[in-house]
Amino acid sequence: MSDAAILCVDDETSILQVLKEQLKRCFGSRYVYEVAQSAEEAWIVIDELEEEEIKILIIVSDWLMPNMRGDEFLAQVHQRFPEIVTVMLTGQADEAAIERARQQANLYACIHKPWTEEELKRVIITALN
Amino acid sequence: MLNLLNSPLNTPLAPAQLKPKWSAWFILMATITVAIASATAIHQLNQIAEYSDDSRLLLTQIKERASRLKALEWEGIFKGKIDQDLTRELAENQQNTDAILSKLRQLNQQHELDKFFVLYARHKSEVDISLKLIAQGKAKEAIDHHSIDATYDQLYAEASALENIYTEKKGQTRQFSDLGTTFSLMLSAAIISILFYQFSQKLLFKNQELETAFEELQRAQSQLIQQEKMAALGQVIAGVAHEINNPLGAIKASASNTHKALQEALVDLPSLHQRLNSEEQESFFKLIAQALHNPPAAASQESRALKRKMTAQLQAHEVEDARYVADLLMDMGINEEFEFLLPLFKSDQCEWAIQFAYNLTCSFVNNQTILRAVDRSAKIVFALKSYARFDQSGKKQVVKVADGLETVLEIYRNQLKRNIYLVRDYQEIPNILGYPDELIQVWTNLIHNAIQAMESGGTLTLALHQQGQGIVVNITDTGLGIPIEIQQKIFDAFFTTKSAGEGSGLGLHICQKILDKHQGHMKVESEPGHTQFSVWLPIECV
Ligand SMILES: Nc1ncnc2c1ncn2[C@@H]1O[C@H](COP(=O)(O)OP(=O)(O)OP(=O)(O)O)[C@@H](O)[C@H]1O
Ligand SMILES: [Mg+2]
Repeated sequence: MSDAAILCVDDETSILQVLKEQLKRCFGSRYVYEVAQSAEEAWIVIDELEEEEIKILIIVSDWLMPNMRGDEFLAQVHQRFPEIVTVMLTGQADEAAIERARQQANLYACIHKPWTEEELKRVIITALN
Repeated sequence: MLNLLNSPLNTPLAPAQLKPKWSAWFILMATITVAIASATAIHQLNQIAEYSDDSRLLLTQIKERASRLKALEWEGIFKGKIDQDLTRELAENQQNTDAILSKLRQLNQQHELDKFFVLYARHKSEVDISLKLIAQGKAKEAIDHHSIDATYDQLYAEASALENIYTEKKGQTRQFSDLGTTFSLMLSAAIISILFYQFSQKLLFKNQELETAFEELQRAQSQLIQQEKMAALGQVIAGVAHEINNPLGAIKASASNTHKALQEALVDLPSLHQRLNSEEQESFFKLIAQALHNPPAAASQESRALKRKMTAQLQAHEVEDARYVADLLMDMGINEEFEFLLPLFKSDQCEWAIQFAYNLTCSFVNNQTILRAVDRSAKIVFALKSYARFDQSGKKQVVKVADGLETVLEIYRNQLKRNIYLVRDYQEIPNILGYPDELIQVWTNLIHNAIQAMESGGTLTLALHQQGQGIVVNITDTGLGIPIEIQQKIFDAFFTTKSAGEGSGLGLHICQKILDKHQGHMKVESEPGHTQFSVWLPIECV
């Protein structure tokens, strides 16, 4: 059974639903897929997975979310888990925020909405190899 | 933005303005000339009148002197001699008479008195002769000689005639001068009316000029309102783009997911009967029926706990990739009740069958997602459209205030999303008559200000209710508040406490203008942590 996870964070449930389906379609049972609607919820999921001894490989996060912006969240993640690959999936390319994420969260890639499955797949495959 | 304001004020002064100026000067000069001329004429006439009066008085005096002289002569005749008293009185009389005569001579410029002087001289010589005879004691001869009465009468008659002439002349000149005065009064009245007319013409002209300038200003103002709205739109457009990219992303991914799912399902379909026995097939179709019926489980702590429980059960049935299968089942809306799946769990085709069922049914979920995303996009587009609309008909329309508020909320949705909690407290209110686009501008400014005041988060409350013949919109924020000392100033144009890029200080000023136009009003109440802008708008008969 898989002990590696991909976590998606976005405040829109429909984005989470389609994202998860795409990932499942691309990578099947190779990974565990979890979603969270906010940074706070993401932290809960991270803790739960840690408890289950499932290692998070990648976090794909939206940028504009209530309470905490994506770049801030990814920076916090990076501080605690430097090995997690951080990816941003956003409809709004705030260059400053992306640059901040690059520096503070070692942002691996930024995917722009609307994205294609291939884009997503390529980013994740290259990130994990 | 401001160069717009200049254009109407820069209109060059019309040349027509110069013409009345020149003619006014001309009229003024002419008037002064006429006034001086008539004053001189009146003065001259008055002088003539005075001189006539003087002459008349002198003539009367001469008449008195002449009759006195006659009386003295008679005295002499009676006395028969010219004694000392008489001599003195005669000398005195002569002196007075000479003085009067010399005055009369001075006035006799037109020689109208010539005849009088001749008559006087004749009379005087007669009197002198008579007085000489009396002095010689020949009083009797003096009486005989007496032709004094005749010369006296002639003199007296001439003097009276002259007196009459002078009286008449004085009357005439007085009449003339009165006429002149009347004429000049009338003339001045005419001049004043002309000047006044020209002045009011000028005023009228200026008024028209002002009116056009005012109209231009009003047009500029409404353009300014539109520009400010567009500037605000420019600020939010990036956010709106983000908003539209979300549903677009969902639509694109859903469509591609459905496509892939169907491709896989079509490949799997022929092998269904070979892979699953009838009991397993029954379980499979029940799964499909349930999946079509149930919505997918939303991600939550409970659903994750449930997933772990399901995973454990699947592991107990030695299902490979138990967690992955549990996840698929959760996404198909299967939760606690999964006893009916036991035949599948036991099958070695378990993972294949559940993936197949998932592929067959996920298009329904994806379609739901697409429909929702399309609705969402349509809503954003509608908001943008009603936001950017600029009605120039200038006619009032039926306005649903709540719709306007929702449009603005849609536009500011992603700004609100950051850290602002939104509370709506809408009560049923009637539609009102007004200018929907301009009211949207009011809500935009107030909501934008509230968001800007809550930089580090807070609660935005929008409340709607009816009050008397109007409706009230309360926009309340929990931001930093407005210091009491600037509360009076915030409605002034260009008053802002924000940095140059952030605020122009026109927002509230424009709100006020728009509310004035609606005969509505607005008040503010603020303390740190609580700021409420309260807008009242009349309903008017719809
Ligand atoms: N909800 C609010 N909370 C605190 N201060 C406010 C609020 N609304 C307005 N103000 C104060 O009133 C000032 C004037 O507001 P106004 O909307 O007229 O201009 P602005 O917001 O500064 O600029 P603009 O609206 O043109 O972008 C603001 O600069 C701010 O200081
Ligand atoms: Mg403002």
